[in-house]
Amino acid sequence: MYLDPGTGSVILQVVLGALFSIGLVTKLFWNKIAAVFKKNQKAEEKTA
Amino acid sequence: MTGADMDRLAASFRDPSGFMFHRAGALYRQVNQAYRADYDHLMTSGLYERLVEKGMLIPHREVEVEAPLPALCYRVIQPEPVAFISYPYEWSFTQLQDAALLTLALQREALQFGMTLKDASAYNIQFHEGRPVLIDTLSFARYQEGQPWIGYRQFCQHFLAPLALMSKVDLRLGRLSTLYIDGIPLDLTSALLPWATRFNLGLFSHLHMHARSEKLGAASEARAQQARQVRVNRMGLLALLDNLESTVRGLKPHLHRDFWADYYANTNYTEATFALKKRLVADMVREVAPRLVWDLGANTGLFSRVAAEASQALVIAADIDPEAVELNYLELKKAPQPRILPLVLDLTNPTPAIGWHNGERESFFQRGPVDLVMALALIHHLAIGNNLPLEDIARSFAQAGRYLLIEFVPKEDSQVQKLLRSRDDIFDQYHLEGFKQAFAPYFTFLKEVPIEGSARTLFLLQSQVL
Repeated sequence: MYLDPGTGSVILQVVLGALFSIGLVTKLFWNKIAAVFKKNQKAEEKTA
Repeated sequence: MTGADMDRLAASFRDPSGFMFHRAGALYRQVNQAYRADYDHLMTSGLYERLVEKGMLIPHREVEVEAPLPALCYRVIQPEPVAFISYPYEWSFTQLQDAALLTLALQREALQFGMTLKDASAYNIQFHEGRPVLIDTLSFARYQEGQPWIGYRQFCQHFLAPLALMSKVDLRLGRLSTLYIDGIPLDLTSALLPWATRFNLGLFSHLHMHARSEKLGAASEARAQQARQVRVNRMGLLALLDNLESTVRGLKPHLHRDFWADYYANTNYTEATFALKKRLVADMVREVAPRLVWDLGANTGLFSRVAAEASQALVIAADIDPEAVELNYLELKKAPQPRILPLVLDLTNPTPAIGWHNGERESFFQRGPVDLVMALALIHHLAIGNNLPLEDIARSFAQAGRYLLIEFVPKEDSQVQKLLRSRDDIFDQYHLEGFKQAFAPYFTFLKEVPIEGSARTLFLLQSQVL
């Protein structure tokens, strides 16, 4: 590496990485649930 | 310094992976032995093809050209040439935002192929055929699981800081980057941003907290030791990228007008006269058949479009007003014309050369001369608005381009009257004859056409200096 990543920046990445992971997992999980509902809705529309 | 080393571009010294050099008018990149394994991985992993196919990375070919420093050399490559180099402090808000999003997308793609973007310099992005593209082929390094993103701080300084300042304080702060070649310091950014930006999770984390953590980090050797052993798992890295992306996307420029309102308000003509001016400009551009055009004082790029359509040229649509440049770029995204590049430029104080020895980033005029300079509805702003003697304007334009398409706007014109309302009329030479006298020593007059229905005159001149 030729850039100085910065001590503070690296430590902050650990903290933010962990914090935002929770957010990202929640988001992905939520999207999956939403997708299932959308699928069901579409299926219902088709049958209706 | 050896003769070979002198071909090396002045801006190309930071990264030991290789450097750019000129040879017989063409631009090449030496890839050093030190970068061999990373280069091979880039080329064989499928990452290169993927990025080139998506238009995210400039394509290159390997060539048999003598290397400037053969002892260090692994390969010489020739990247596809970029017609005009521009810099982040010349971009409008959305141009910089698009470049930022590209940088994040590049890092995400790289991770999928076992690589990482080892830097996040805004100077590595250029606008090529209307779109931002990475021009530094050597920006990728093999990724080791647990490695933090080395370019994170650079990304915040080069992209997020100026975007936040432009969005939350003032669009004009884009030019602040001229003062700091490695991006705006985060403590300065944090001090300049309104206090309320601390309620924005992304801005709070990546700018305010980041600025604080830099101060803490610098304080102790123990912390530095700790940082060297730190591990960030892949999930954490992706989450960080995801948050950076939504933070960047969440920033908006504050605009006070829109493209079409501007279009009609700025004409100062009747419809017929306006159509005539368009036709005259198109004819003159066609006559010159330029490859590179500077449209100075382009506003939202109305006549840049005329010039682009009347030629095969790349037209640089430069204007002092960052909002006009932003509107131009937004309109170009809706109705693409890849041969127009809008840039922010204050002609009375043009982009300076910056960096080590003033040699890393070129001034605006160093990137000329061009085939054609267009100066429509501009001269009164320079001569009356900025007190520039007509002869100085003539001399500058004669060095900037081989041809000059210029509109003379006399005192009777309402736009000039507006300028004169608030100052003494000390401009005795400012009339058509005075204009011709001032320009005659520097130019051959090819065409002089009064724009019927207005008091203005269009000129096509050929520089005698170039």
